Amino acid sequence: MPVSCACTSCSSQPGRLQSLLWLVRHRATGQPPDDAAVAVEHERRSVGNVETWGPDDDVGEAVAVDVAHPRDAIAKRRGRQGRFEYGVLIGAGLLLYVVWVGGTLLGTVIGDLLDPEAIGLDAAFPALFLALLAPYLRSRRALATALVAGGITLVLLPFAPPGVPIVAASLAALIGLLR
Amino acid sequence: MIVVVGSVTMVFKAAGPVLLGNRELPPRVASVVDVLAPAMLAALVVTQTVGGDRELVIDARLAGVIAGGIAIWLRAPLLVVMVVAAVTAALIRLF
Repeated sequence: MPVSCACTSCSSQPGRLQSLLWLVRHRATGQPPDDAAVAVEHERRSVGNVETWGPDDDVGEAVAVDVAHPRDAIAKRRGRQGRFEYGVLIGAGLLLYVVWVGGTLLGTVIGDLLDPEAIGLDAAFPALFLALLAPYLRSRRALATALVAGGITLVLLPFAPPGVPIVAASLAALIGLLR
Repeated sequence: MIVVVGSVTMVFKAAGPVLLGNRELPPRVASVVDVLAPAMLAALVVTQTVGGDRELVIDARLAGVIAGGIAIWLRAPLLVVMVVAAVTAALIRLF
C-alpha cells in the first residue's frame, strides 16, 4: 500500500503518510499530487503513455486506490481491470468514521459555546463548495453547466420550497447531451 | 429505527456498484454525469450564499464567499479559502 514505483530506473518509495497527504492535497486543489505525478511519469516510462489526472478522479477512495497503485490506475484508464486496495479502503473508512463521529460528539458538547454566524461559518461552507467547483470550470462545458445551474437556483430560490431549486438545477446537467 | 435507516442506506448505496459495477456507462449518460457535479456544486454555492426562507438574502455571507473566491483565484489552499470567507463575514458582522 505504500506508493512505490515499479520501474527499474528509480528507487522512490514514499510511504503511507505521503499517499494520504497526496490524497488530501488532490481533494483540496484538484491538482494531481506532485509525487503521484512523478510515480505516473515513471510508469509512463516503463509501460507507455498515460492519461492526465482530472476532476473525475475526485472520488476519495478511487484516488486512494490510484495513488497506492499507479500501475493499476493506468490499467483502469486503458479499460483493464485494476485491483482494490482493501487496506487503504478500510483504513481511510475507519479514519473517516472516527473523525466524523468525534466531530459530531465535539459539536454536541461544546457547540453551544460558539455562535456559527458570529464566526462566519455560514460563509465558510459556500466558499468550500466554490473551491470544490473551481477545478471543474476549466472545462467550457462544465462552466456553462455551472452558470445555468446557478441561474436556475437563483430564479427558484424566492418561491420554491427548500431543496427544490437544487434538484431543479441538476437539469442543467442535460447540457452534457449537447454534442 | 436507526438500524433500519442505516441498513436501507447501505443497501441503496451498494446496489449501484454491485449490480452495474463492471459495466461502462453509455457515452451520452456519462457526459451528463460528468457535468452533474459542477451543476450540483453551483446550486449549493447559490443556495448557501444568498438563500433564505423562500427569499434571497444579501448579507455578510456574500462578501465572505466573494473573498473566498478571490482566495481560490490566488490558488490558496482549501482551508485558507474557508477561513478567509469566514473571517470576512465575521468582520463585516462585527462592524
